[in-house]
Amino acid sequence: MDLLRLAVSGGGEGAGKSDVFFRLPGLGLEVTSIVTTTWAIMAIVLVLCWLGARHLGRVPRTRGQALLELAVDGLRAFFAPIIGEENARRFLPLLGSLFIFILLANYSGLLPGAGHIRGLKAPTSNWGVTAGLAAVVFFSVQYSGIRKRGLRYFKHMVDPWYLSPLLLPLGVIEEFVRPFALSLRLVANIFGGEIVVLALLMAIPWFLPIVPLALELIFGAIQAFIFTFLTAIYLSTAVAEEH
Amino acid sequence: MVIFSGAAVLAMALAAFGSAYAQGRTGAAAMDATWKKPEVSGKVRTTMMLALVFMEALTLFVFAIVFVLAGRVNNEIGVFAAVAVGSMSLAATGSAFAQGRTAAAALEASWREPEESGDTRTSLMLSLVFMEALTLFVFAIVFVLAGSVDSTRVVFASAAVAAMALAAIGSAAGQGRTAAAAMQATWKQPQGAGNTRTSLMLALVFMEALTLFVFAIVFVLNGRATTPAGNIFGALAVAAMAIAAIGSALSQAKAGAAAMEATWRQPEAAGDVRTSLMLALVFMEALTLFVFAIVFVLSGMVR
Repeated sequence: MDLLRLAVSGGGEGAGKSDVFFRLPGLGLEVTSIVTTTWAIMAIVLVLCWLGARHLGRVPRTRGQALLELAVDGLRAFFAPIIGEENARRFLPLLGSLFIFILLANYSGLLPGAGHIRGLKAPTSNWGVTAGLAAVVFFSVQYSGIRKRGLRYFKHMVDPWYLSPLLLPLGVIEEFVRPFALSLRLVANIFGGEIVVLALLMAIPWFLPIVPLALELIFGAIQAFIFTFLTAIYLSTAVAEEH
Repeated sequence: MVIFSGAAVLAMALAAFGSAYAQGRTGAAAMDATWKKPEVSGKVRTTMMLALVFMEALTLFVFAIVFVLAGRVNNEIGVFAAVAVGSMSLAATGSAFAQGRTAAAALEASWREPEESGDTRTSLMLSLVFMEALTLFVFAIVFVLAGSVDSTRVVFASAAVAAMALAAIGSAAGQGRTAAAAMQATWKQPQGAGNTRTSLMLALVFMEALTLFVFAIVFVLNGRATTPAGNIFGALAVAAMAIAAIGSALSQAKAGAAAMEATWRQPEAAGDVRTSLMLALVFMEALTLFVFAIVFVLSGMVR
């Protein structure tokens, strides 16, 4: 029960209190296990990309370049049928980064000791992190829509014009509800999954937790997938011209 | 604590039941599509997986709210916490049923009209987000009220979350019916798919707004519900809003579904149909707004 209480307080607002390593000088921002894990993921991705992209050639000569091209081309081929070839090329940097980061963040919670040892905790099990990701999505969608279509981007909120008093506020609310749902869906799945594993660990610590852990492997990938999939749909509808 | 814990396990069970029902319906529709059109089985499987994730998330939202409340529950607000988890599970069940209905219709459309399956999936995802948002509104109101609830306004807060759940169920039922009709229209008249989606999105927004009106009135009344009179008035007022919202949502669903059918039966008239639909939806929306207005006016007079 103590372990469960710990998990509960870890999800609530009392989270960072005992978990702060140091404060960033000047800003006073707290560096917690979630932040250090995020840094680690960033470092891993950056180093792998740097290693793979050191000797770039038109035809891949190194294993690193071949692997990176496989990953990038795979992501592009995945998004192309959903949002079209042109959109997939344009938004690949954002969508690919989101997918890779969320996937690694979800899986970091499956490493032995995650959540219990200091400095390692799945970033996506914290609402602040997923809300940050969703904020990135929100601003990207608005920016892409306005940049591509100008004022016509807002047309769907005032069309037909006689309904605009109702449609305008609702349209604005919807734009905010979408990232809100994105962030909550991700955090509820990852945090909920952790609690299920934890509860089973306390009930029967032998063999049984293998089942939810294996399921978490699948769910971690699916959640990363659905976050980027919905982002792709929001981006493509924002830049789409009227039929 | 014992009331809350008991309510929490029952709520989890109800939410799991709702999610399971919807997933069963989706899974069955996917199997159906797979044997009827084996060549689209890959696309059908992806669509099914995506839909299942949404339904799974609904139960996890109830799970999350149980944990949020477990950290704060005490004897003073035990009743509120118990009603809150119950309301969350009701809303989740309502959303799940609507999502199941929509996903099943979308999966049927994807084997009957394989060329349009990409568009159908996009429409399905957008519809599912709308229905999921209804449960998230209840989540949000529980979160907000849990921060301010005390013994003086426990009656109002409990009634408010219950009313939100009822409104969400009404909106979800309406959205499910309209979206299912839209999915059918997509395969009966593939050329009109773009038109159908525009009408569907507009109709969904209207039904979503009904729950948001209840959300808004809860916000307004929460500040005034500290006296016994304010408590009772607030509780009755949010109940009234919920009843009005359910009525509006169910009638909007009927109009919306009929409009979708009209669009595929007579594609040339799609523009006319949409204009009529908009007008009809506005009238039904206004009925709930009248209740909103009277509650707002009277709440200033209740001491």
